[in-house]
Amino acid sequence: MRHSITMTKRSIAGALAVGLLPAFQAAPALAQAPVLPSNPQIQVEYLQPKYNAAAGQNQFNEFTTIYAWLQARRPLEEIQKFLAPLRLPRPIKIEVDTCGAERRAYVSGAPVTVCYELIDKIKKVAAGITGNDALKQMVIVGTFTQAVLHELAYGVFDVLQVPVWGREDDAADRLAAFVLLQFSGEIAHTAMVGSAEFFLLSRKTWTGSAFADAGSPEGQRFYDFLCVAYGGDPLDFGGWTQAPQGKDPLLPAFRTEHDGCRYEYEQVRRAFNLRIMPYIDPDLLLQVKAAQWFLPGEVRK
Amino acid sequence: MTAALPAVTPKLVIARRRTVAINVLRLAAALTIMLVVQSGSLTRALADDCVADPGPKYQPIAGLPDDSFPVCYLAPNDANKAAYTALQSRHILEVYSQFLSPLRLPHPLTLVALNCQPNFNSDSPFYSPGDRALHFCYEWYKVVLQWAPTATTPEGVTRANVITGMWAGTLLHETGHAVFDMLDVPVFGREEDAADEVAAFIAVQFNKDVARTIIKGFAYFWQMAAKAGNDPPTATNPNPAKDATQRCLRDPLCAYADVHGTASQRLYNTLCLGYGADRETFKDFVQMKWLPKARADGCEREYHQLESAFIKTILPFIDPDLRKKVQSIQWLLPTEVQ
Repeated sequence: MRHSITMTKRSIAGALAVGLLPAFQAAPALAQAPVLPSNPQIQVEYLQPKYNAAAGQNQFNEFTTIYAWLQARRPLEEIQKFLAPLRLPRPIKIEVDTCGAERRAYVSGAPVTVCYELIDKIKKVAAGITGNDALKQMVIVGTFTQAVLHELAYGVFDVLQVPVWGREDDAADRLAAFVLLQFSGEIAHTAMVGSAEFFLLSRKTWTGSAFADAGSPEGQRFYDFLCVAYGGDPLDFGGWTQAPQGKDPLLPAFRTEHDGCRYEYEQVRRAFNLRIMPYIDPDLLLQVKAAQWFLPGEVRK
Repeated sequence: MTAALPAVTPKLVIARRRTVAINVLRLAAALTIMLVVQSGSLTRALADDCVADPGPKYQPIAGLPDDSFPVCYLAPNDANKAAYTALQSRHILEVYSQFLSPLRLPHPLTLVALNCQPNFNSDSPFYSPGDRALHFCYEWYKVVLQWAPTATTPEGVTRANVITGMWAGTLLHETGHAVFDMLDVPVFGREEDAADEVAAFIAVQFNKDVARTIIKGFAYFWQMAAKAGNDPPTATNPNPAKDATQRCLRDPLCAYADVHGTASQRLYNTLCLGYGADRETFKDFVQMKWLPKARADGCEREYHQLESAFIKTILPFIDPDLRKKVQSIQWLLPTEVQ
């Protein structure tokens, strides 16, 4: 059996919880927002949930609750600040909308969409975690943040005309993971651990023609996140390669051997430096990295 | 049909990384001593190790350089003699060397056919950056022969399609790794998928017969691989005996940790790129529901994205005149494109 994803991790309850996204349940007061400009080329909108007869009233009620929470907390506005260094030749709009599915395929020139259905799923998966409130919060916060960056990656690839080798959905995952790893350990930890745990807990059984999907199985996404994280920061994430007695390591040796994860991380880093870094304002980047995205005391080292 | 097959790992390239398997490094070191590739030709030392062409001698295709990508068939062991004979008599490496001639790489790429067992403990071909060589395993060719259908399948795939599609697709896949390495191509997605994309993209740049042979043959192989247990076990049905890699016996999810996509993913990715490139030529994929419509609807976009990536990152390193010449040649034999 695999050992827990958090077994060897630092506990970081509350990471990002205020700055980027408070948990859905009663959350502490908003932190003083970092003094950073919003990226004028990143537009955001929370669309009112639409009633879907097939999905029923209960789902609509859930979405309405999420909508109210989004309106109150406005996490996408924090993402606008987080992305302040990104210089785009034309705007990208991020919207939250009812999709009828967990994902809405990106169409060039159209907004990138984070679906209520996905947020609802994140919420439900997190609700299933018992006895570990810190992990529950990481799943909500980390997965939401990762999901926004994942969807945004499609827009960035399109607007910057980035050549994409490999399946685009995986490319979006790897770009999101890479970006999150460039920030403080708390952001990286929350996003990587939270997202990976979400993939683990939400995995479905894939057989036959299910593999025709353009998106990858949760299991692949899980290991891709772990591998990029470990490759980028083997000190912080090295515990995932250790096997407690009688158990397997989270990251199997055949994935990490011969510096395989380091190679994967470096591959994304080189691609980023070549194709996206020219559109990053270096001064603003430093400000974003230095910004206090959390309330003091909310991050447990 | 495939249950009795050996537990092969039909995964192209284990050693595609800059830091490669130890046994690859050993070979690299050995080859470094044995061969110094100079001006696109093999040194006498390596030439001495290569098996001499028993004839009839390869007649190079006129108008295309035949010395840009040096080739070498290392001596087969007894178990691989038939594979060697098949590959050598078809002059697979010599033909492929000329096929690649429009490609301008900053370093020579050597094409080597060899025994991969027991030294590499794998039947799978691989590109190793340590010696900048594409290694084509005799054992791989045997695996393809075993998995190729003996009769035409319901999808219209012939035995010749699979044999030809796989040796061509495999060489192109490995060349993808070599190109990513030597040209420092930015790869945001998973490299193994990207290498499959190279193979499919190149295949569809040729006439319909060639394109369909390689796409169908390559895809069908992965379909057989999936049936043989090379898709990951499921959570509800771990059935570890079907974990052909034998690496994840305690944890079915672990099978997803492989750098390669699942066999079924590789099947559908290949079908999708063929259909996305030319919906008319490959419309039967959708009609017979080999490629599900839900995926098919996005394949044209996927293909155009791939085409754009190719144009931006690799096309500048391709000689336009030689490319036209290569595209005008009928590379496959009539028996291979049936």
